[in-house]
Amino acid sequence: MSRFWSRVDWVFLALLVAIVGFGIANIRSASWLPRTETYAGFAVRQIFWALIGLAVLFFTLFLHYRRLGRFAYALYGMGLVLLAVTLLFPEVKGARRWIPLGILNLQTSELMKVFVLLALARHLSTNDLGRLVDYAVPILLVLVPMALVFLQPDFGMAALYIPVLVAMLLARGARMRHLAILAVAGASAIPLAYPFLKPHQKARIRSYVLQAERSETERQGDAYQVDQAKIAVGSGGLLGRGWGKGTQTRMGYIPEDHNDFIFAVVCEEWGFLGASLLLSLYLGVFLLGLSAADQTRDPFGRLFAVGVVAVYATQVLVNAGMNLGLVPITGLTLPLMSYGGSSLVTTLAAFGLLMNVKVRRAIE
Amino acid sequence: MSRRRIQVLGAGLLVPFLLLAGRLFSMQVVSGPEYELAAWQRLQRTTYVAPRRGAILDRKGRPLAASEPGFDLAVVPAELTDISLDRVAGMLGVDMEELRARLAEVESKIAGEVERELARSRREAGSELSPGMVKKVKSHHRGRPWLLWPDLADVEACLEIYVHPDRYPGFTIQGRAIRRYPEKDLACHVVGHLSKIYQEEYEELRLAGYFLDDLVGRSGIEGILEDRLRGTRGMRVTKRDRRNDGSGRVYDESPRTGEDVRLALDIEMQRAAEVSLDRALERARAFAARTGREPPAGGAAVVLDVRTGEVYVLATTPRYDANRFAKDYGALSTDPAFPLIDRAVAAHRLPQPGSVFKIVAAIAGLETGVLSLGDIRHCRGFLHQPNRFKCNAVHGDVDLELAIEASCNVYFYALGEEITPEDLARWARAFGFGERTGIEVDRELAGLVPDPAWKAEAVGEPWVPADSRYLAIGQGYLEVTPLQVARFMAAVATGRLVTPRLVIGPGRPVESRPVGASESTLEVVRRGMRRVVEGNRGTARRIEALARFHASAKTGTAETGTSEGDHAWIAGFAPRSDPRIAFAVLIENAGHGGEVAGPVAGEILEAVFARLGDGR
Repeated sequence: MSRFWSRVDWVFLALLVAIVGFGIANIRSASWLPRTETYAGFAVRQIFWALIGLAVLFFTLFLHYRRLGRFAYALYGMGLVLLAVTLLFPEVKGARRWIPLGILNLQTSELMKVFVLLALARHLSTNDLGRLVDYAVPILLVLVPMALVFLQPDFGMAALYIPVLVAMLLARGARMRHLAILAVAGASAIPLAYPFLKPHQKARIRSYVLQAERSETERQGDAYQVDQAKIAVGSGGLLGRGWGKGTQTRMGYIPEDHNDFIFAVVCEEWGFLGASLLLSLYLGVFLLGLSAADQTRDPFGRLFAVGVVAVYATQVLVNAGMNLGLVPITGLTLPLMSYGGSSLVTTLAAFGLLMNVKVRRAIE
Repeated sequence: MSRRRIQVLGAGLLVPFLLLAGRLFSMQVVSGPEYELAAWQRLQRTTYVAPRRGAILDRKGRPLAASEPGFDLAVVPAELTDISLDRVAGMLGVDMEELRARLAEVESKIAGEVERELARSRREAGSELSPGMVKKVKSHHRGRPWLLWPDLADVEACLEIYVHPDRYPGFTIQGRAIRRYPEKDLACHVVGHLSKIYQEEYEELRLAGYFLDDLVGRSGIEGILEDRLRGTRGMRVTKRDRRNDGSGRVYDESPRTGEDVRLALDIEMQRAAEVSLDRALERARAFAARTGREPPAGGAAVVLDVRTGEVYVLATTPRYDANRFAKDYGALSTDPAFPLIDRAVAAHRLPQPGSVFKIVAAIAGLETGVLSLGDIRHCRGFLHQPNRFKCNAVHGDVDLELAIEASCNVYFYALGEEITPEDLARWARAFGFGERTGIEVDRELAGLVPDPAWKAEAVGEPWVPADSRYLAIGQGYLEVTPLQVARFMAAVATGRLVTPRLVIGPGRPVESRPVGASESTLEVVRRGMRRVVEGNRGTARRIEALARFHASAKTGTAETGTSEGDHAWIAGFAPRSDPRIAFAVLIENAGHGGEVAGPVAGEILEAVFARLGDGR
């Protein structure tokens, strides 16, 4: 037993906790309401979900991840059902992403992320990737949830699957030749699917992807968000303005500052040093995650670890890029930091499983 | 599934993170100060204070155009109650029905605005809008003030509503600067008007500091001196602190009132001239009605200082109320009498000066040597043949002075035969005909001085002797404005052609140039003009006021060659020894110069000399 505890990567856990804690601090700052001069309750709620998430993390530590692996396909199927059900609920802010469950809005696409990782890891670890035709199933495994998420519409989340698939295929030993063919096929398949969409979905895609047919107000809305974020980021300078003292944040100039643009809040209040430190924390998490993949001999565990790192690293990079004006607005949140119960818990659960892989690498 | 691959993935992970860090560095450390500035600017709130527009005053400082505070009544439909409607109607003393009608108009405007916004949102969303959204849009529009009744007269009532808004829920008073023209139609063309900024010119004007809602001067002095009148906007930058009440003042720049502009006009002289013109026009119209002729359309009068060129009177009829210009524009622009034209400087068709021009011919004749002082002609009532080139009477033997006094056509027809048209035209131009005077009005016409070169080009025919004869008596292709005629009279009085001016103020020297005629020549014609008023064959001898103020004048009855009557002219200067003012009066299509225009000149001189004072 003590061997178990000694194998737990406490550094990894510490990094996670640091990120989450830092996130809570920044959510608190971002939830300042200038007109009533009070804080909205986001931070408190995030603490609540963080504690739940940590509990789930420990739970996942104790169970054997391979057992979970046996249920991979079942979980995958359940995830698909949940995604489909989500589409039945009414739109909130122009999208259907949640299943309302009283105290929690369950963001089903977050859950699905993990289930897809499990299913992909399971499949790839038990099948060969020798011929081109072997790619069919992995692609399909990814394509179906992608489409369902796409219909919500949540373009950012849907696009997230692609780098994950590529990373896992690479980890599995896919040949570059095959990947190149698939890339070309994929790119040319998009226009083929297009005519099958409903008109308003087409409009949505056109407006998002092309960014050209966006109505003036949409464009101005986006530009405004990014501008505000950039100003906040840049004005942080080297040392930042100090916790709770970011003027753009306090005056409520950054829209969505407690979720999509939380990174801008960090930049404003903690400056270059603070933001770089945060990025290093994330990088540490991901590199340690990859080391788990490196150290284990279990193919399923290895693939799963790679998948987890791929998903969340991409998310971090895209979200930060968005905050810095490098990437168009995608709606992807910053894992572990952005406000949101279901994403925090599922992310912690996924990292818990990752820790699990590392712990049990030698026990088997 | 090699370890290599995983290591490669790890390295691949590093790259984007480094890129991010690099971008962060560039934004926060390198460009930090710029972003900080932008952030600081976001925290400021800038309010602009509109300046008060400069006034347009007459020479004694009385206002012709002034900006005064006005009050508009606005309504916030969401907060209205029936009681407040009653109270406000009672307070302002307005008819309940009228108030309700205006409210209904506002409601329909709101409905239109709401519908437009909902349609826009529907298009953007690509789908139907939720009822919550619709409600939000409606309540947004109903919750803000809408103009209900502009420019309320009862200031007391407005203040009451302003100070006690709780008693009149749903109503609010909005103040703004309203441009008023207290003298209404007096010198309305000279004063000009303002209008809103058009879409097409907004880009350009924005760079000059105009805001979209600003009014800008379009015509008259309002337009010509827009830059002096408009003033400068004030700016107040306040730092938005937590209280957000703008109490932290960062930068304050007071608005600069526009410059007041003083005109040479005298309101009382101008008013007397306008009234006199109006009455003469009335009489002429009545006469035309009786004799079955076309009614005359209008007239003009000009009085200016012979030495400085300051214009005391620049009158025209018909006119319009400057306060109602925008409202009445449609009717004014289609009125067949062309009330929008300032007949002192322009016309739909410029008139010929008729016999008034004989003075120019006389001077030209004397200066070129064609005419000598003692030259006598015999007038039989016509020049060569009974039915051509007739005179207005049989004058017998006529010398120059009598020719001027009695306005003998034959004498001048003969002169026209002897002088070259080029010389005649040259002297006309020397006296400022055929060119704009340069006075500060818009759309001044230059008139026309014909000569053989001009006729060959414009009409395509060669100059014939008849043209010269007509030119000598001020008919033919010749076109003049009353202002040119007045200026010409001033030149006869002083020997110098002065630039007439409307705007007076420090640092504006008198502009004049010598006409080039000898003093002895001018003396001769002056004597003739004296006899027009005092001689027993003078064409203006019946106008008592002219004699009383020692005016020297010349009448003119310009044939128009149409079924409409002749243009009635009279012009001159007074007093004849040491002249101070020159004048010109024109009544279009009204008949005999001395009879119709003469009395107007008399009344004007009365008004002018009563107020002129001793100083210059």
